[in-house]
Amino acid sequence: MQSKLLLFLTLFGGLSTICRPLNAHHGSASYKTDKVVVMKQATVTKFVWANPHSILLFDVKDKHGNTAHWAGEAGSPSAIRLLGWNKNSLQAGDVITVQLYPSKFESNVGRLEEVVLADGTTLKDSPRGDRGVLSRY
Amino acid sequence: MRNLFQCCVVSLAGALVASSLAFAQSSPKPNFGGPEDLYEKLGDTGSGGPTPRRDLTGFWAGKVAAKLNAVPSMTPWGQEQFRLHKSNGEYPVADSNDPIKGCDPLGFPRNMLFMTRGIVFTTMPGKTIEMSEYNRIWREIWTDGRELPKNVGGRSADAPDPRWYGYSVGHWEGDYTFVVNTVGSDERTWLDNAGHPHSIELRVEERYTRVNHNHLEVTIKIDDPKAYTQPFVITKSEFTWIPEQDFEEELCVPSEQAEYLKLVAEPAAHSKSK
Repeated sequence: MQSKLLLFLTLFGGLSTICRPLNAHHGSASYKTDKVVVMKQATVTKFVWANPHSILLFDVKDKHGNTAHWAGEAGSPSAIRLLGWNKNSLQAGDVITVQLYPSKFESNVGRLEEVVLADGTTLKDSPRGDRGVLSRY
Repeated sequence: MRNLFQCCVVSLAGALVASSLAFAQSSPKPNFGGPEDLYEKLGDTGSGGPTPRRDLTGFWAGKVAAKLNAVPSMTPWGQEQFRLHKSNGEYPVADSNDPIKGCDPLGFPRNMLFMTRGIVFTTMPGKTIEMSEYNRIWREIWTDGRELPKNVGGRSADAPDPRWYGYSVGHWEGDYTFVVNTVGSDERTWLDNAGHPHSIELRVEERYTRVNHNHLEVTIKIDDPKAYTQPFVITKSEFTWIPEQDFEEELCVPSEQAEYLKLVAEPAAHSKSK
């Protein structure tokens, strides 16, 4: 039985090694690609319509009433314009719900998944050019 | 022996199942908001009518990034350059040394492999001009029969300097294929997003075939004996005629990129050695 377990672990270890290059992109991203954080009642402080990335700055209060400052990145204007965004989609003071993939390193930064405005309008981030990897564009 | 074989099969199957489960858990949810570029949004536009003869003039939509073939073995020089390149795919943006991190030019041929959402062709006497939506750059493709320069980057006084977008000449093969040959691309540019290098010896052949009014195909062949052990076709990509003959302004703006690095990329990153 012990030898079978050893064989299993050897095979599994071998497969993991073979598979590693395929997942290389995931391992190098700055963000937790398996975790979407949802933040409600966030307040926009600034929206930067910029190349190669648009940047959303917003504040969120925790359960103790402390304000945390966050930054979320989205695709380029060329990419997210196709999804209904424009330079004035978000303005300081807007109250929104934000979904984002947070940084692996506990900083208040993330790649946006979507933003929902007070009127229910949903603005999604651009699809990733590499179909699933959180790339830059 | 039979038991051992059965164990192998069961273990392999188990490992594959475990592997796929792990992958499913670590993948982001596939929540794509819509088309990733105008090419995808336009979809099937049909042939668009008769194919113009010896004419690529107009605005064309392409993919954000061309699908690339694997590169062949690199020479020792190529391997060393590649080792020094820290790509955005492998490293957090803040830790990479991709030239475009600071909005440096993509250069040629990388500009035909990445950020290819839009290209434009027009003609002038003796030359075809090819322009890109990204950073609004252009290339002159001489069609007056001149030869390519032979000593780009040489030390003699008459040697042309390397250029971000090289030196190009073009000619028609038949009525529907425009062939462009380019030399002299600056070695500071990367071949692709993975950080594969090229040398000043790089020679590139692009073959633009107008399939019909609405569709254009381009095949790009790389020949760089200093960096690669053999020539290779790096991509065959497609472009679609843009009905409105217009596209977005898309510039990498250094001040905006600096703000992005400060507010997002650097806080999100960590350092690691290659």
